[in-house]
Amino acid sequence: MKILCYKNSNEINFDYLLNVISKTKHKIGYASGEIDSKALTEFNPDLIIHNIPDVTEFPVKTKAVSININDTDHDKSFSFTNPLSKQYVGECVFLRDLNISDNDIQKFQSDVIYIGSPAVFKDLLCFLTDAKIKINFKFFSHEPHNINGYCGVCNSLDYGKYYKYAKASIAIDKDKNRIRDIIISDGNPVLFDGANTSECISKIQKAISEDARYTLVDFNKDHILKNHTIFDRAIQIFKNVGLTSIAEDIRKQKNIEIGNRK
Amino acid sequence: MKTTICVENLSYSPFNYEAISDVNRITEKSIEEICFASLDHTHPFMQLNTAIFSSNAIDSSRDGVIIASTINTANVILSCASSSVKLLYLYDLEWMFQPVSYDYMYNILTNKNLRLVLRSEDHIDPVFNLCKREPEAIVPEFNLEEIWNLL
Repeated sequence: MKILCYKNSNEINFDYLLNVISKTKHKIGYASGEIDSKALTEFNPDLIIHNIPDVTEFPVKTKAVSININDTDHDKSFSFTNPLSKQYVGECVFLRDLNISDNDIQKFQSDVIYIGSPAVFKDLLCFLTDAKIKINFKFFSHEPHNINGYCGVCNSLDYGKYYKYAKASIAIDKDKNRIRDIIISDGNPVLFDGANTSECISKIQKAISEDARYTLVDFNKDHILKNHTIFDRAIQIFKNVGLTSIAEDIRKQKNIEIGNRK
Repeated sequence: MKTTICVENLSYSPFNYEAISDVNRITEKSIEEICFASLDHTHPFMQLNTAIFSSNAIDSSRDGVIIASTINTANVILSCASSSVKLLYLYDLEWMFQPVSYDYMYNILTNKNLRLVLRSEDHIDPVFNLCKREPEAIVPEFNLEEIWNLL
């Protein structure tokens, strides 16, 4: 089968979905920007997967089945982000490689890690960035922050390594996808409810000085790996449109990836 | 001492002002071999009493010291095959003002072939936080004689 992946805009879940599809044995073509109908005819895809908003079919007519990753109300449209969408597939985690060489351990080590802008942590941020407290707090963001702990930008494929080698990985308690990411990376989650700063500080201090590990009742690593990976969402999408052979290929690939992590 | 100062350009910046002033002061009274290597071919914003080369001349530096002042120029001097000592006089915590790749910064700042001098004591903690490396010295205002004394 020939699959055309057309990327209209940068969306992390769509990128992850394309990454999963690229691991199957099918012939994959990639396109973005202006659609060259001649090249499209030459490639002659059987399936087109795209994230063009507000359309229920790929704009250029072909015999290919069109899977739309957008919020339109159509049986072949799927949404990762809008729970009100008819074909909402739900949030999911991406399986990142966690292996590093011994020489790289120091690079990924920290006392506390956060990926994103830490402004959401309010008072807790004052504690984490206080130079007198001497906590090795690292955070990464595309937006420069002129405060202690800002370490520039990091590769999204390395997120799991930072979680794994940090003594504490902080997250807001409602940020379920980030928490899942931390859990599947064998990170140590310390959740902040937005109000109880002193309790969160105490947990962080215990994690740093006593190597305290925290478990979350609602988040089980095996359950997440079994049900909430991008592989599971891809399988769900392809099954829904009747492409069970691709769904089966993806299931096999998932088993290989999970096996490699053990 | 043979010294090459590698800069992004020679237009105005606080570092360029300090470095050019210091080099002019030294060349006025001594015959030390000091030159600038500029990545961009810009005219110096103030009178400069020494030679200016393009960055490919850094390779010709032998048995002296090559000084970078930014992460980017440090990367350039590290990539040169030269027997000179390579030193980063980190003038600013530049990643706090524009996003820079952590991998790129970490690999440069932890490179064993690069000696590290900071401009301010306030920079010690952020640099240590980033790459677990402490500087050899703090030199608050660019001063070649202080840097030569470290070598």
